[in-house]
Amino acid sequence: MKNNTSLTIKDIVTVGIFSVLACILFQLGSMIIFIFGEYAMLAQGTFPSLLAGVVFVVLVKKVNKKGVVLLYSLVFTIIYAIMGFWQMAFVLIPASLLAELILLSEGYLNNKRIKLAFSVQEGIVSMHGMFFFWYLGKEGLMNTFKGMFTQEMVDAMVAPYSNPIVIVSVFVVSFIFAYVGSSIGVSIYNKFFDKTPSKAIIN
Amino acid sequence: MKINYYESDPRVLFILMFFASLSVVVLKGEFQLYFLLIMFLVYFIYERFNVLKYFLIACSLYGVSFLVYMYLSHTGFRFIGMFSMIGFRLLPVMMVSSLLFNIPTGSLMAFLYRCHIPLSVRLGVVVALRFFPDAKQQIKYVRNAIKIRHLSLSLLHPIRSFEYLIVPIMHKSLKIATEMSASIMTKGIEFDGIKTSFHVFQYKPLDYMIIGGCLIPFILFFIEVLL
Repeated sequence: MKNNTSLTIKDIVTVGIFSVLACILFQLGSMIIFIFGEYAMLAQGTFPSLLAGVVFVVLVKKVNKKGVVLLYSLVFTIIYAIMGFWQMAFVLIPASLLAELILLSEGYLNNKRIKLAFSVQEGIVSMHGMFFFWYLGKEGLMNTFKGMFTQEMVDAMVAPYSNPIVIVSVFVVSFIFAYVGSSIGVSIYNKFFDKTPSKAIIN
Repeated sequence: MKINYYESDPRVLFILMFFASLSVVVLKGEFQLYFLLIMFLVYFIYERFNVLKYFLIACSLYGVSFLVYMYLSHTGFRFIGMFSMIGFRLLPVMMVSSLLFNIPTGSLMAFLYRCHIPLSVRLGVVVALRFFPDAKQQIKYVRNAIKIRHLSLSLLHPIRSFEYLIVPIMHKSLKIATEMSASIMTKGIEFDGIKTSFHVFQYKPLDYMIIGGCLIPFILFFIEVLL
């Protein structure tokens, strides 16, 4: 079913409300990843994506219009900006544009495309934790946290974030978690939200 | 009910947020501390003695990082120290953020309209901010309903527990979206003409003083760097 109409007021309000639900689930997921201790930065996209996948799937399928993912990310970006993390815009907006491209042309009801779009988006967003280390670098870390770390400690800390294998692994792990999360979302949508009858009414 | 002791132009808070974000990456050493002290003063103007909460948080975070730095050398503890130090540096951002979340939705809507932000983004953001406290209430209601029905949320059945919690919340959210959009449409949100607002934006003398005060640590820092 092709849907080219623009977003209505009800769609925009739905996006706003579901962004809040996703934001709460992201925060809950972020609390869980603290069990990974010093590797928490590498696990940024695991549990948050797993939990928020359900909300994303229900939102995309309910609204089913072009621009829903971009608007969802823009609302998220402004919420992050209000919380002081405006830098997230550099990650969230390109990732959501890529997700929109994946969903373009009849993909808003296609389960496989929704799962792929969410997984790619979350895979990219999950790497935002590494930007902190890439931006500061070894010298920056030593200067910012004076006296807290020795040179060996900083070397050991930065090493995983500059290793291409680790970077790819973070993307892949986040992709898998997001895929599982969106798969759960699809099953929940089919079970509780899909109103289309499975059998023909007039038989 | 929350009391606003000082209601400034929302632009001032967004400028403060810009300075607070900049202070995290630009300011170092004592200049970071000067900025934090000025932010305590600014927060006192807006929220009076609620500033004590942030003062205690600042003391705790600084205390933890100091303890780690002085006595605990294990890498795991060092990470706790690093996170405490990051939290300490981000404190001005958190303070401005809490002030921004308290802006009345009508005022924020008018501000975003004046900034020529598209209607979809404007409305999405305002609805999201308005829904944050409601969402917490919804979660509370659903948890109570789960208890009444003698169902339990268990880590042994994560998917089932997640279903119990999230499905009713999403159903309720869809219903709220329908009601809220009807309410918004009756207020003429779709009108294409120029809109006026009840909220008038004008800088007050204290706003200039707040912005000027926040600039002082940056000016001092750049003077020291240049000399």
